[in-house]
Amino acid sequence: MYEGLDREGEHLYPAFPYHHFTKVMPEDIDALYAYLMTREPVRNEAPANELTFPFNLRPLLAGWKLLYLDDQRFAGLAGADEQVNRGAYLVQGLAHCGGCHTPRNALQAEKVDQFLQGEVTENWYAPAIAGDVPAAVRWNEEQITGYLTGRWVEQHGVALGPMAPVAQNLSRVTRDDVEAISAYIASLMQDDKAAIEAEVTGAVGEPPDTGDIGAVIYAGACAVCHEASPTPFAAGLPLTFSTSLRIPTPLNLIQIIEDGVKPPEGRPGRYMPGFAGALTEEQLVALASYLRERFAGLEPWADIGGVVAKTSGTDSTGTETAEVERGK
Amino acid sequence: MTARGQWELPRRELLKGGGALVLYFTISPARLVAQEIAPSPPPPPELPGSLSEFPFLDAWIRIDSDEAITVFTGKAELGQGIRTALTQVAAEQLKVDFSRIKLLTADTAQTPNEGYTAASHSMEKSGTAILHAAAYLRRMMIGLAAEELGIAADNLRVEDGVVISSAGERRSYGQLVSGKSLHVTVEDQTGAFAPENYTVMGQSVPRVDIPGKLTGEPSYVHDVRLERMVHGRIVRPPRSGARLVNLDTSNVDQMPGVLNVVRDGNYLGVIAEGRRFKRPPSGKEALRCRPIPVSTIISCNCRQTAA
Amino acid sequence: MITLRVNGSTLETDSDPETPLLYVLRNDMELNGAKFGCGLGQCGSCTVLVDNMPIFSCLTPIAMLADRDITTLEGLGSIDAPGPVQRAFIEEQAAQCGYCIPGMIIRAHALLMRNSAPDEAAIRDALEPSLCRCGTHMRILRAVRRASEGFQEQTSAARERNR
Repeated sequence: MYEGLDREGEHLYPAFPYHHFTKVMPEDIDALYAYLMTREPVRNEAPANELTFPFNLRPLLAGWKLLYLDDQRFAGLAGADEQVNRGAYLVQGLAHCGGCHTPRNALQAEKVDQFLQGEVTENWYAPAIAGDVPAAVRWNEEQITGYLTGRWVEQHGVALGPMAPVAQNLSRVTRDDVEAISAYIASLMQDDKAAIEAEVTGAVGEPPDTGDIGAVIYAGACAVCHEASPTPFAAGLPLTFSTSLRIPTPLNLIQIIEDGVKPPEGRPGRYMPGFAGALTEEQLVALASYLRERFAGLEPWADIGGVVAKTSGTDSTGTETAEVERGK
Repeated sequence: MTARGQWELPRRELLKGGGALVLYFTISPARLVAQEIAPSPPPPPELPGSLSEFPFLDAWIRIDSDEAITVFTGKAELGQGIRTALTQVAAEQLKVDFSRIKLLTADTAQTPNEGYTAASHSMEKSGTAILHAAAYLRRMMIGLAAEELGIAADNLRVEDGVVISSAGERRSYGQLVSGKSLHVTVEDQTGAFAPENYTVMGQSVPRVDIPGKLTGEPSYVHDVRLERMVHGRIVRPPRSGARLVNLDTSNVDQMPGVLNVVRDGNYLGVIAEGRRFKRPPSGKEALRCRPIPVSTIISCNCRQTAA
Repeated sequence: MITLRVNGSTLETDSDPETPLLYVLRNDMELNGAKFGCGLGQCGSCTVLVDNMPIFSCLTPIAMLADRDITTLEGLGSIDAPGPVQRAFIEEQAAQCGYCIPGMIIRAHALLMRNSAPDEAAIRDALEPSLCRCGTHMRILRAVRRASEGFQEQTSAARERNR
């Protein structure tokens, strides 16, 4: 957990995030060990390493560790109260949020000076959750806690993609700990966003510009749920509040549009149908472009078509699959 | 049932203004019909199932002179299979082939009003009425044939709606009822076939409505399309218990195709024209109907009452 | 004007381009198979095929469908000549009220066109977006299994019959 070594003393790849786990206190490591030893063991042969040369040479990781592994326990945050300290301890250590949310360099090490500033992981973009975050309105602590425990949060939405299982797990963690995480994250976010009125801009129900296929698709396929809907249980996020429209890449938006949103297995939750079969790639590009302009009002994404093409043939966890089929 | 004239049925012309008719209407509390109330004799014993409200044979079965047999039920087929099951009951007790029977369900002009189709009551109420009505009719047919042929009823059998003697003489139901009315009470319920003799009831008969439902044949009320049919949509409040306080229909009044906005207290609805694909292009702009949620057109204030 | 290809026939419609396909199918073409259940893509009663992929016709504006092949329940067979999936559902009596069944049949057909021998998990996964409130699920699964037996031979024969 601290040094990234397996039982035989071989180096482990930092895909197992030991550069975060070094921060965890010994008593917590002991507790983890004690719990794991109560579990029924399984026999599992790890698959053979398929990395290309020279990455398949484990001894080279010693060099990586020299550069990037700082085997230090969590030392506490100066000037922060107990709750924020607890949150920092969890985020930097066990929760290892930086594992997805911090940009990485060419050697796949996290850029410590850009902590939690956003990175592409598992075919989703994990947005910045510190500093200037791309959300439309600011997050307060209660909203972050709600989001992290899998709830629907007004003006932000619900945990999607790789965050969905995270939120499901965190919903079973003691509330105090989740609130500590929220307190710490909230303290990292820049606090200068204006509140947005809950009203949706633009007249609802007005006919779209029929020359813009993106506008037409939005009006006929999306508006019924995503605009002020008389059926709150089925309501989608009004897109003025969508973070996915405000990040540098259309990747998340495309994942959501194509695969929809499913509630966690066996539990109630938000549902959105997927549109992968219905939309052609061209229509998807037009729709993404329209939504970015109308609801985020930011500069257009550079190469939506390229992102769409790259996500073809993978599902939303980045797994290669023959099953994802687009419209023709 | 062997006395001569037992089965003599009234001629149809005698029906009008019959005192007995009025009597049955006034007994049943569900019938709020403004009629002269004749002095009432003691009520007859309670008949089983829906016969208690609709005791007349012709409420349940009609036999046309061309041998067409129609059975009526006030219950509706919802997928519980009664269109098939009630036909089985009628087929069994009438001794008519299943495929020859036409069952008419839930028609306000033609079938008895048996109230809701719910609570698993259809077979119990409607099925019981049809069972006894059909059995009664079958025995009536045998009785009429016996009189006509001068043979004892015991020497007659029925096959697919035809009464047949041992000598091979045949009288069909259509022939036997010709010129007669079936407006008689099903007062005897002893003639039904016993379960151990069932040939159609108790069999697993494929549902007659399934093939149509699975191939797009008109099957549901949504499939009804009438000439000049218009479309109505209710505007529902955002929460249970909300009151409609304020209504501004200025957007809607201008929209082409909108015929009326109906408000009655908390009840709010919009009526608009539908569109027919075959309308030929004309000089005027073709009317277009867009299925946008109606509540977004009309802005209304709804105040939630205290829960 | 938008040109649509439905069950092999072409039609032109001047309905607004954002009109969901379901309205054109039911109102203009008077096809009964696809049904309105929720209008939100949550129940599957409106499911039809576009290029052999199941879509929610209540959420698909006709502007998206120019020049694409749309198949409805009616395109799979008729009451006199039901297709193999319809026949399997009829034989298994896999319907109670029947409202969800066209959507189930459409999804089952799409599945079997891709994979004529699906396992139980694949069948359930394919039908998951269609909801049944009557509780006909077990019969529906039996009907799909039944249809998968010999599906490929039956499909080519049905195409010949309906030509």
